[in-house]
Amino acid sequence: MHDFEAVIGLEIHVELSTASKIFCSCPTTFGAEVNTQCCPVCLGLPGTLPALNRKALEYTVKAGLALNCQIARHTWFDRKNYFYPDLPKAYQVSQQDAPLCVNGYLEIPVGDSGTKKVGINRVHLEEEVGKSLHAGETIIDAVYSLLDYNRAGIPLIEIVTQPDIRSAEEAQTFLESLRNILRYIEISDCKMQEGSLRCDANISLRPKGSTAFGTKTEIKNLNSFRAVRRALEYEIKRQAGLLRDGLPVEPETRHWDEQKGVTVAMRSKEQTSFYRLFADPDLVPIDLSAEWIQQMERELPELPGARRERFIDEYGLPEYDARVLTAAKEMADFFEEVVKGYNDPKTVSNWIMTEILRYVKEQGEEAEGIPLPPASLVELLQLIEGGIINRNQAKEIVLPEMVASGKAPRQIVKEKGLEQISDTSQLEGVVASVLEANPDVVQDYLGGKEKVMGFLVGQVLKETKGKANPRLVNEMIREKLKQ
Amino acid sequence: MPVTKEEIKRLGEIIYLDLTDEESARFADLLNPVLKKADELLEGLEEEPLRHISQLRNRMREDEVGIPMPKEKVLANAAETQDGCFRVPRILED
Repeated sequence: MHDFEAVIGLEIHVELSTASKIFCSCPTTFGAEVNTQCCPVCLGLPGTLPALNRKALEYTVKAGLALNCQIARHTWFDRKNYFYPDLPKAYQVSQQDAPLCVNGYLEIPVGDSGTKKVGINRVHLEEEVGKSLHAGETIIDAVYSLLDYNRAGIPLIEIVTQPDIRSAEEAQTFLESLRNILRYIEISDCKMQEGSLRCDANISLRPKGSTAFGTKTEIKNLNSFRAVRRALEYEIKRQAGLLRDGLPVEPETRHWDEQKGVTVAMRSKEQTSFYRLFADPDLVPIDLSAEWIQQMERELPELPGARRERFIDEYGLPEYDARVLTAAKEMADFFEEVVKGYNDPKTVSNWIMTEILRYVKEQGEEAEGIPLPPASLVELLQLIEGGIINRNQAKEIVLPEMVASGKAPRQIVKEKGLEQISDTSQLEGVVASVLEANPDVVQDYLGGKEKVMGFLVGQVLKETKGKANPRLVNEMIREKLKQ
Repeated sequence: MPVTKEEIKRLGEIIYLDLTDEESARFADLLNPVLKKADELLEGLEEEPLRHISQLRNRMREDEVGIPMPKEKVLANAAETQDGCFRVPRILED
């Protein structure tokens, strides 16, 4: 039996977060009423003249720079012609022969501490297509389709990787790293559930050790990181099954069915695509100067890799912590804000990685961010340090309430009556009665059994419903028994 | 390079023209002298192809939002509409 290796390449589309469309001034707001963000330019009506949105060009170049690409000095747009109603013009403005960015790479984490470079073949700029609503369960069994062109003409970048990915897990890691970096440079919100980041995957198998490529299939409709991973895992098994039985893998486009957990072959009217590409005569070519490209490079913020190194140097964090914290911009920003108010980086890191991250994960893989403001965590940590509440109360009572209600920790502590009793006069009576009620234990202690102290402190805590400050109770008992 | 009637037929399919064999053959016969002339013109030419007639470069607009067209106007020329959308026939073939 053959042992197969998967060869995977991804094609990712990312909507840029410009305020207006790529060639006209229509807004790009998500979720607007259908067909209310269209104009003669994006509808392709006769007599209109498109003009490139400067910011879309800048964002694309920044994406290329962040992905270590070479930036073209001369470029232009092509028309890709096809009969598919997702664009009203019957062509899509794209870049075929002169992509803005080529030959880059993205370094992704593999295993516990390793990294791997995944090659980026190209990053080019094009226009987003309209949204098709299919009458029927899927595009495959649709009787007719309804078109909303609000999205048509939003600037879109296409990122094509080299076939360097070797497993479904690596594909997911790559996507997560890519999303992270694009969010760092603030060119897209990268929301898979809203379609602003989409991914198609090309996959083939070959016997391990072979360098030739097998026949590949292309998988579409991957709407979440989980879908990418599951679809690829399924497709690897499917192709391996065919190859083991000596059957051919058909070179085809397959549709991921999320409910059934399978990929299904799909055929379109233009199975053998012939796009008749030519340079768009309405859009003039673009020359990029070295100075301008350098300017874009200077405008890039600190990228995740550099930030990780700085977290290790500046805050003395372990490599692992630095990696987890910088894996999402929101998280790294949150960490730095909290440290400004509570200067104990390792404690802050521990709280974020264990407690806060748990809440982020509960929100799902596309968390909008940290569910509380940095100042709240600062306040919570100060309450613990000041002995107002203990660590367990903070984790089990106060933090969940902070996340659920958005209230400040101090207020929660007050409302729930959690303040520790740190006033000896309030505790003296309880301590005395506990010692009185446990003469045997007191004898044991006086006889040298230091360990029973825990029991006595525990009794005081029980009497005060956990509000007594344990350290203070400990001191008080010691003092009392000395006499 | 001359075109064959099969290529003409295929080209017709791509642009949704259902050409008969006779029509395809006739168009090939009509086109081939033109293509031959074009080949003669291009022979020995080492210039980069001209993609744009204009010498203009970097014509761009700023990222500013304007007022879109009213929805009724957007849909005014649609053959069929439904729920504020353009309604089109089934997209994929079996």
